[in-house]
Amino acid sequence: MQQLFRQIDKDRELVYAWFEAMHTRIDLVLWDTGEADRLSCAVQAIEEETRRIERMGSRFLPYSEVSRINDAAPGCPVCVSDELCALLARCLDYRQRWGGLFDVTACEGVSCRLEEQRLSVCAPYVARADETVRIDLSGCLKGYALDRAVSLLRKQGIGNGLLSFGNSSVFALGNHPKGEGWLVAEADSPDRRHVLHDECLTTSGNNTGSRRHIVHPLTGRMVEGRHTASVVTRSGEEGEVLSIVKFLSDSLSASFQDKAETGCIRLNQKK
Amino acid sequence: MEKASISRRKFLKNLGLAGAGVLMASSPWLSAFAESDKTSRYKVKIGIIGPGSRGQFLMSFLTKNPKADIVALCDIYQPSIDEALKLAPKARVYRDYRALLDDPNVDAVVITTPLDRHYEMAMAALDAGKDLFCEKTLCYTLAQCYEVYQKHISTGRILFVGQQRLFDPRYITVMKMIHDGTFGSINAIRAYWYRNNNWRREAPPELDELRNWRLYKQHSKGLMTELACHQLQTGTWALRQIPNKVMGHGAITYWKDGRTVYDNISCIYVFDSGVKMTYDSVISNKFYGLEEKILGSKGTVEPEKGKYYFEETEPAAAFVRLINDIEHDIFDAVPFAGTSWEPESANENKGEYILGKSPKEDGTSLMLEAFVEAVISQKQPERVTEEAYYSSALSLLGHQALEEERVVTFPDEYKLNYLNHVHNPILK
Ligand SMILES: NC(=O)c1ccc[n+]([C@@H]2O[C@H](COP(=O)([O-])OP(=O)(O)OC[C@H]3O[C@@H](n4cnc5c(N)ncnc54)[C@H](O)[C@@H]3O)[C@@H](O)[C@H]2O)c1
Repeated sequence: MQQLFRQIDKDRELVYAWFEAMHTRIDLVLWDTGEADRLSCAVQAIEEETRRIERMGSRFLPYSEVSRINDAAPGCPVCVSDELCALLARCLDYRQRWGGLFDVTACEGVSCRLEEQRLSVCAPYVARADETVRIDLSGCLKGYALDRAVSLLRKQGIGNGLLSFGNSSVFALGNHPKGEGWLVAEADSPDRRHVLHDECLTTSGNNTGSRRHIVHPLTGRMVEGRHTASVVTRSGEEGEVLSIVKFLSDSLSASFQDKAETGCIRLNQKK
Repeated sequence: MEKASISRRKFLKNLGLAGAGVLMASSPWLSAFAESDKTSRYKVKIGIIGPGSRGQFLMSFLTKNPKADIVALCDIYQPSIDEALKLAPKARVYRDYRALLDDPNVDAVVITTPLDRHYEMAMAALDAGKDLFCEKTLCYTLAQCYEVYQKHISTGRILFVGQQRLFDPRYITVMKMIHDGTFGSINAIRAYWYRNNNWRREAPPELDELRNWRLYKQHSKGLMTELACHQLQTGTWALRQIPNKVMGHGAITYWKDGRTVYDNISCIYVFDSGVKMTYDSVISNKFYGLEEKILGSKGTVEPEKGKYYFEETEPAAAFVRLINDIEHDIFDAVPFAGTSWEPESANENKGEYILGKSPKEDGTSLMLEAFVEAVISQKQPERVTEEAYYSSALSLLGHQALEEERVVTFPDEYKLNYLNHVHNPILK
């Protein structure tokens, strides 16, 4: 991890820290009154937590818990942590709630009907239904890690920061040192700005015409075309799920291919 | 007191230096500005000895400083006097520096004569009770530097040496980052200055030595005292250590025109830990210009270019902009949100600017302002002279290594009570 420190004014310190994890970059700006050491400890704790979650949930790491499930014979229950069980159980709920559009077992070439039970989760055991099932948490793990990072900060009493996990999941905690909330603009269209306050902006989709990486679970086809979908939510995990659902719902509309983006919807309910 | 510190902060902020208080740990001499808002009714009366090329450059800043008044000039070369009078028309003119020092109207003296003249003039100035700004290199020999330093201590007069990097906002900012550990542990410094010119001024034979003093051994130590002096300092500032050994080689390989100083030099300075700082200079190729590459385990600094680079993932441009905005009290949106970043999309490592693209200044004007403030407040800023003493000492020891073609060790008798020399057994 690399860190840059700045003094905002007499009483306030700021840290900007960044590192690569989960096959992407994580950028964290935090500020607080008092010691820079506190901020430094906080960003280090976030890095450790993110790497821990990656070791648990990445399908690319051969010894992760998810890889153990993917490598086990179909039908054979694998004992995993409560944490992973809970995350997978939530993923199954999301699948039901969104008519099968969010599916961590989606796979190119396989159409996953909603009625089909592809994964059984019965803590502390998880089992794949058949050989076509491969768990891929890429669609929610960053959001989950982001939520964990935010709760770590809150526990440490650090109430202000901008946390970006791969630019696609951005949590604005508290306020910018010079204003209310945080202002975040989109890389591809800087005029599109979002004011965020204790909220997460999540974007899914293809930023170029040639990029294709999201599988439509119901058809088993990679979604093509330059299109992105953004949502503003209270949590990072929810944001990832909803932005994918929105992207996939958009993909059914006739104008999908020629509309670069459909705008952002705010799904969070402000109290 | 609170008002004073706010005003100092504002003052430094104008130079692109935010959070002056924090920078003080890395550059304690910035304390020179502690009382700058209380000194506006004072005027320091300054005499310039040797207002040649550098002297006139310094005068151009001093004449703009409302707290300074150039009241006397001394030179033995009429064209220098004529040019200097254009900048300070009311100044009294002296032919002999001793007469200038006798002038009770002069509070402080600036010495910008050739190197071999510094010692005698500096000693006399301090003895005459004048505060002193002496251009680098402090003196022609290390023994002389030591004597001048001790004279400054015993007389209690202010002493500054023309090491402007100490006041360069880019250096100040990046040294703080180095000391914070931003670039990991620093294990090597590669400093160089390359030029492609003969360094010679047109002059009739009888004026050749006076005008081209840099080219002759009896007046100067060439590239080591004229160029290296500034850059070697970067090493001690970054590492907060004095290297205790130096080896090297010098030769005249290209400009065989009667000069007696080297035009091609290489030195290796060795710190006690084994960390090395190399110094190279040739004046027959200018392609690489000048730099002091500071090589850390996590990143690299090129302070002359005003840039730093990280070894691994670069900082995100949008976030760098965000923290710069915050420093400048700007609340604005930074564009970065979008689909997920992947390592394959990382750009070529172009580095980051320490303080924006075009630096506001090289430190000379701030250094002179600091000198004027110190003279008014009669407070010698911490470490400013010690840093400069060691820059001079290192360039002179390097030159000795070139001359004697051997490893030269820092002599105990010339160590100050400073940094890793603090346990010097021969000091009381
Ligand atoms: N800090 C820097 O970046 C920097 C840059 C350039 C020069 N310098 C230093 O400034 C000093 C002067 O360099 P310069 O380039 O201006 O040289 P210069 O030759 O242009 O000026 C020297 C002046 O001193 C005068 N002089 C010589 N002997 C004298 C005497 N006995 N009494 C009075 N005047 C006398 C000369 O006539 C001349 O006018 C050197 O020490 C040099 O290393 C520092």
